[in-house]
Amino acid sequence: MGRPQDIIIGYLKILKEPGVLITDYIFIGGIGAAFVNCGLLMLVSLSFLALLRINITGVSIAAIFLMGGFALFGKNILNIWFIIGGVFLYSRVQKEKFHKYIYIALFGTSMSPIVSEILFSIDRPLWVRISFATVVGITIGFVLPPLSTYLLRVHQGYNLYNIGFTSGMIGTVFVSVFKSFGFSIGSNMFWSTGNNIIFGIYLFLSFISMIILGYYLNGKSYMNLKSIFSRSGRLVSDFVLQEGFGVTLINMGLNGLMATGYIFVVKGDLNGPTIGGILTVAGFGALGKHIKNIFPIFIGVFLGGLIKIWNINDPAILLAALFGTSLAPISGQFGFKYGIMAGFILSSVVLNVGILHGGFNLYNTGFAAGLVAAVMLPIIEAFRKESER
Amino acid sequence: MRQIIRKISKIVDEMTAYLLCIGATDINIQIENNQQDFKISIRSNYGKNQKLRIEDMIRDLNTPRTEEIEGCYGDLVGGCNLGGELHLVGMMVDKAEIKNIDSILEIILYKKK
Repeated sequence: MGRPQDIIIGYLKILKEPGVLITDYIFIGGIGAAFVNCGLLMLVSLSFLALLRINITGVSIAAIFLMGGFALFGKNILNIWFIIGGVFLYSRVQKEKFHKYIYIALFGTSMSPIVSEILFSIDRPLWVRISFATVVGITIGFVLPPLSTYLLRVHQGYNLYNIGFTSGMIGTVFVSVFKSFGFSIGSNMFWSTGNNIIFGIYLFLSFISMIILGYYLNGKSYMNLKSIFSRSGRLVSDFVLQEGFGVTLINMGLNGLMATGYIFVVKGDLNGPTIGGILTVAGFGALGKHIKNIFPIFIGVFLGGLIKIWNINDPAILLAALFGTSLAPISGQFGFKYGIMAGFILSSVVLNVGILHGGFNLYNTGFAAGLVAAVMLPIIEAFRKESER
Repeated sequence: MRQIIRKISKIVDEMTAYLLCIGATDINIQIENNQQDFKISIRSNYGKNQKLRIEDMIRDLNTPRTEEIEGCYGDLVGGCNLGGELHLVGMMVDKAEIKNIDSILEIILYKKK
């Protein structure tokens, strides 16, 4: 997708770009450079798991796909290390093994753009920027583990992007402090268009090959697929541990096809952010998502697009639909209508929370989903009929 | 140490909720704080027609130990989840021994320090 020298030039542009929402790396550096970044971050994640001798489970697959997805819009090989370093420091202070926190470290790189923003957007000497970025990045990583485990209780595992919720909270505090010192924070809107055919072919072929491979690894059958569909998907529904790798691969492929199909149905753009969303939906096909519990969320966001003031294929709404599937456990646990309701409400909330963290939290929808789940769950529980329980 | 004590109490909480959900009316729990590990021994009866849920429980408690998932999601165990997190309990304990004799469950869970 480009000559090596073009990819290098494009990649340098990506590294220097702050990456706050929404920064499409395909727009910034080109298709080749963006996919090099995607591959590099997936390799880094996989290397961490291999070095720490961690067995590949559903959580691992979700983490690797999520890293790859967000490497197309916000994370890069430069800005992820500070937060990972902060989580590592926390494990040392607690005298615990780092591998206990590796997933928090990988998921926690959602706040990486704040590091790039400090490194490349502040008008200060280089050493000041490096020092400040290091302190901020490590501090964020350091507070992530206790906060993320604490905030799990707020949504009881019904928001699959718990770190998104946590990062939203941290980002809100950091941005408020920054603003009170006169630090101005801008937002980005780099959104590439016109690549739907090439990306569509690539994605459909990838997901179909996942289904075929999964079918063979599952003893040439769809055994246990029904069992996956019967699960609520609430954290921690590790389909690899619970149902096996082959059938999980089939499930991931189906999720990917549905998510890609949605973008085509609503005539959206396939680019860095939306492919990132699709990869995340597919990756979480190993950790809670299946076509039965994500479909109502898509319907909810779609209905919102029909009657609310925005268009169904606006960038933020496309991302709300894809990443809004973090609320899939609500439809999985409580039923179709609650899933639609969650998607419908989420599509409004997600547009109003970005300003709180200044776009630094890449998992903005995860933040919104945490709020929606926290509000919806007690109400659903209170008014659900005894027979539905 | 404080962290592991919190986890032990959460595991006991989760087990109690699950057993009550399957109709237990008589639950005895004993916790031993040994040098190397914590040993949680549970003896409980259960209600009628719970064969499937007992099978689920045995399968979930035998989920392989997964420390990295415990670090990330361990706090979901316990609370008022009405016993839906037993596979997470399985990931948090090092060994589970379960016997079901004459409608009495004898469960022993080991968690290394």
